[in-house]
Amino acid sequence: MAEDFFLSSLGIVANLSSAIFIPIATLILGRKLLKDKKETGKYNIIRLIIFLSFLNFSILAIIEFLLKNTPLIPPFIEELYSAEFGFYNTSVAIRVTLGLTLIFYINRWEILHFSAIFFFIGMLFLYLFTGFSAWLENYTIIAGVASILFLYFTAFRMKDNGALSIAIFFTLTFSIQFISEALVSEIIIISYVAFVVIFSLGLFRPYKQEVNT
Amino acid sequence: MAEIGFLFMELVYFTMGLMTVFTTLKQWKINKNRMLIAVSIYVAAVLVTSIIDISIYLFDFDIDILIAGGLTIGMILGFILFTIQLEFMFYLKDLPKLYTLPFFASFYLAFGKVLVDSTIPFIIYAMIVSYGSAYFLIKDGRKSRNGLAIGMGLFFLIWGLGQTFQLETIIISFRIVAMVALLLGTRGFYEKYVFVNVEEEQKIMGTWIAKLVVKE
Repeated sequence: MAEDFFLSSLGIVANLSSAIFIPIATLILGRKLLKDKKETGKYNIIRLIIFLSFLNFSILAIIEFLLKNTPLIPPFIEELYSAEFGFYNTSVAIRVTLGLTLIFYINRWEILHFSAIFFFIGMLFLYLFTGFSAWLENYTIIAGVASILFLYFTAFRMKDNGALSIAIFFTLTFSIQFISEALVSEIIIISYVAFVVIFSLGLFRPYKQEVNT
Repeated sequence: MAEIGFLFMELVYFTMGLMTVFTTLKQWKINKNRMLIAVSIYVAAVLVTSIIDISIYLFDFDIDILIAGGLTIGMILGFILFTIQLEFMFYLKDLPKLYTLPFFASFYLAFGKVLVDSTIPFIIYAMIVSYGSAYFLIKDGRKSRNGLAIGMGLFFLIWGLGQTFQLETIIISFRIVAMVALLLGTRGFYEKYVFVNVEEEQKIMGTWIAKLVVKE
């Protein structure tokens, strides 16, 4: 009984902190992005990809909190959320797609810059037109694992703080997909929220020099 | 009898295509312009499909053989041609970031055709590729006074227009007209006869005025 209460309380704390701190971190990253644009006159694509990735995650965190802890979300949205090509799966797929795009940008593989985005949009159109969604899960797993591995590889090779931060963030968020133990997944949520706060405040700097892009 | 007529028209189209390839390659040897080699590759790809068409008229080949679902061999050839056409466009516009787009678009459209037997997505794609390419090439060609770009633009435009009628006679006739437009582009016709050389005109006008002034 006490264990159940502890777990549900931990779940609420994890979801609430996720719904509060990740949007705040996104706002901080957005401000940095705009400041950078003001100074240089153009968007820093790597900052933009990181911001979009966090924005995507913020929206998901807010909806998840509202869905699990409040009666505010109508049932049809709940259905849309958990469908095969629903909001949750699409959101994770967008994040791994952005992860791959980030790798291609950092490594300056120009021909591949938009390839992950084209592949994902193609899959989305295929689903809208034919109802075929069998590739989404496989794509998410393959692209997710590939993007995490490449992000670590790129981060160590280029000594890039952004890539390393995203790699750690992706590892934590992506691992939740495969963990069924409630306690472990709540602890992971709290730890990635803590990491996001540290990262967005610019305190995570294992490498002193920034990579110019 | 109609088949012989189509065969003759296809042979005319093929011969003009060969002439275009030879002209562009000859010019490429002289000025090493990368656009010429890209045009040669594209026209060569068009000629490969023309050879298939000639074989159809000669030996009664059936390219509407189903591979899976609603996907036929003819449609795969169409996708290959559109992929080359789009790649050609992105190459000319120097957009390497978009090089993978035609492959994914063709792949998903082909796979969609396997799942759902509808030609609507293929037609929309074909229209976007043909008219989009034609628009950009003619616009760029006019701006830079490049006859070859105008020729290619007209080729895509007329070729695309012909495809929309879905009538064999019209398709082949439009294809021949399209190839003539391209051939003229490779031979410098548009630079010579279509674009007005402003400097040259002003020179002539200047000489005229000078002569009149001297007379007076």
